[in-house]
Amino acid sequence: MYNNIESDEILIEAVKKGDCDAFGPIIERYKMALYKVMYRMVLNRDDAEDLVEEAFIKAYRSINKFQTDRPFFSWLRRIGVNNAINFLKRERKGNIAPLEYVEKTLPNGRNDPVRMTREKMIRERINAALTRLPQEARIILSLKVEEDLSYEEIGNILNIPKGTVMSRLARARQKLKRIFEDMEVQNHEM
Amino acid sequence: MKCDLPIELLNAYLDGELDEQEKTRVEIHLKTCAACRKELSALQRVDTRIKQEVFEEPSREFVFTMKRRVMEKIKPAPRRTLIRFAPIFAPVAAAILVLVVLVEISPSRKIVGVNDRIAYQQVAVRHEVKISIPETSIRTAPTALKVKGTAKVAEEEALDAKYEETPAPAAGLATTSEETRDIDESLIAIPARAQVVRAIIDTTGTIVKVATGRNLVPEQDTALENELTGQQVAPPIIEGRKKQLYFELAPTEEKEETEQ
Repeated sequence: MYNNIESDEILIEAVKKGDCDAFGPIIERYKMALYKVMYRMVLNRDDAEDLVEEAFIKAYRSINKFQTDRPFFSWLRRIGVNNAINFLKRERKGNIAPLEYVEKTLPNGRNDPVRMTREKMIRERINAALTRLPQEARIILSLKVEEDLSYEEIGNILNIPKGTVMSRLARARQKLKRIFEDMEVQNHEM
Repeated sequence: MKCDLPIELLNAYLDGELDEQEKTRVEIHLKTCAACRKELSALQRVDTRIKQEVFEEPSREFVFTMKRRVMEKIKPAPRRTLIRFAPIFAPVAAAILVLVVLVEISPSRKIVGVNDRIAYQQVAVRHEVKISIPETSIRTAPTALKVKGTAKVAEEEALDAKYEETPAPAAGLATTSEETRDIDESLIAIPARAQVVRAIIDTTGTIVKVATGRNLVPEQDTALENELTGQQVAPPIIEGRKKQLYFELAPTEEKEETEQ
């Protein structure tokens, strides 16, 4: 039996030797972090959960390709992101506004109803803006801003050169900035 | 932004991706360009807003059961192992079963052994041959009795045919026609208690089984068998083919009493 005491390196070496039970703590350790990445890409809870599951299974099946001296989550995230990109291409999703989910999100530790309502409205607007962004732009912004990956890491995940990452990221920010500006104008007009 | 600084460079500055030389260049430019400073602030606000993105918590099912589902998919299921091979095993098992049943119900494949009373009684004797056992092949025992040898040859085909058709005679082999002749008494070592000695010799003339007993269908005598097994006698050749040979040895006195 394994628990969360063992390091990634020990657990993964055990998995490589055929002990699949050692993969359990790995799943527990990274499922939430991977879920966040997946959710930001597909903006849908059910799809994000399915993608996390698929990513872990794919990671297990190709565990022998993983070099133990490198961070496991980076490798897992790469598998997950590639899987999510294929999923988005396949499903042609990305323009479905997940505003219905906004209602379910509750800020933690904030009991001021006025403040909660205001924050909720802001988040709704941000979410709406992000859903108006093309998939490619949303993914690259998510990887940079939320996951804080370097251009090189993003390039490795998306299989594009560093210079392309730089130009795509600049375009994505510009688009999102314009969407926010348009929404602010509309808000003032209302 | 109305200046010559590429927007990509400003983004890369924001992301900390520039080397020292480019970074210095951008910083110098920002000191003198209000538009670029404004643009940089706008980009920073975009990033701040992205970080405020609505994030929906995963379902309870995901939190509590996702790991189990993944483990079930990646673990080899032992119960399914046999089921997986069922398409192969089932026909093979059925074929083996049919083969076993066919072998068991087929009388023509019945193996005739020394202790098989029915086979002994139903052997059809067609030819009689003279047997001579090489003197050097069998050790003499001090308690040896005088014996007479009777050799009977049964063709295998006749054995198969008679098996079902001929009713078993009450006295077994004693009712069949036999030619008895003297065998050198020094050749065979027989326990004193034995009244009937019978050897089964294969088509190569090798003694494979030896039995002794007081009945016409004797019981197996392991000690004697160990002594005689493998000894060679000339196999009978009938119509150009070697035949199965049943070689019967009986004490002279017993035989004479029976004949009387």
